[in-house]
Amino acid sequence: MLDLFKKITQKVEEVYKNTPPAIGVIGVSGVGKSSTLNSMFKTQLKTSATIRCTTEFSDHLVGTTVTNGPHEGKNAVLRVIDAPGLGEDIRQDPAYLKMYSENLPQCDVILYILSARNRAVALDQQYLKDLGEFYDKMVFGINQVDLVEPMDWDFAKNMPSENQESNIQEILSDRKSRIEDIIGREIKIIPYGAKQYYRLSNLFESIIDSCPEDRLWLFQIIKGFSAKDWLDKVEGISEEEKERILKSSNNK
Amino acid sequence: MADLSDVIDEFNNQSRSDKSVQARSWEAFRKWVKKLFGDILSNVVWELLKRWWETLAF
Repeated sequence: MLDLFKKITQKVEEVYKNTPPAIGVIGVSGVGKSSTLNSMFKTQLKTSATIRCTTEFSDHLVGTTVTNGPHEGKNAVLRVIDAPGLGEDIRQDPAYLKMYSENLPQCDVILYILSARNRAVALDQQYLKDLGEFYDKMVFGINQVDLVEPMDWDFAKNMPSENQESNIQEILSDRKSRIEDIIGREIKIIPYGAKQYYRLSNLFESIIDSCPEDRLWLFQIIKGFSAKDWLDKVEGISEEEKERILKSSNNK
Repeated sequence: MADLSDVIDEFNNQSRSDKSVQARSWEAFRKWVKKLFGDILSNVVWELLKRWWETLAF
């Protein structure tokens, strides 16, 4: 039996090492693609609010740090197909789209990120039309919900204010119908805030929904966040209360 | 002062997603192991394997 156990663990390591989980992240420039990966998988991709950071289509292995359990501190690997943001320069787009078509087939899942701050989705609609062959493994998220008008994110609760929540729902419904018109099927879009760790777990759940079943378990291994990360950012309650919430959740 | 019930509700909502993903990942892992090695593991070994899996999944 021990021999079998050893064989299974060796096989897991072999699969993980030779074909690590692969995720493609696409969307127009400035929606927070790298920030999303950094929050979700504890990677250290370069980000900037003012200039374009990802200028080439990069297929690379990134290290993520194990944050708890007996492997804490060790590095795990994620294959990231990190795309340059579309829509920055119309002269670049045809070349980028060609690269998308060449690289995206290797992804287990493709995360298409929109920003809750951008009202215009014409560019997204245009690009989605060109990426029809990948609809089946696409997952949609709307990032930066913390920056939705009237920009009064409730830092005490690390949640949207009532007015923001109502605007987020409107944005969600609008973007959903406009994207569904293009891709011709019903989709789920997850509103989230990468920097606040808000609803990252819901976005991750959506990624798992679209992942081929025989590869699904690999993603759980590299997941680098938990609901606790979101709770850590709540400012309006004491550390003792946070501990109590964590404990009561673990007991359920 | 934050309304604690809102914070707890949101935390539970996010935790539920975490737990549901973990459960589904384990089921997917079980199927993958069965496909590769056959359905020959005893309950005790599955239990050991699950514990090992939980240390991997973080």
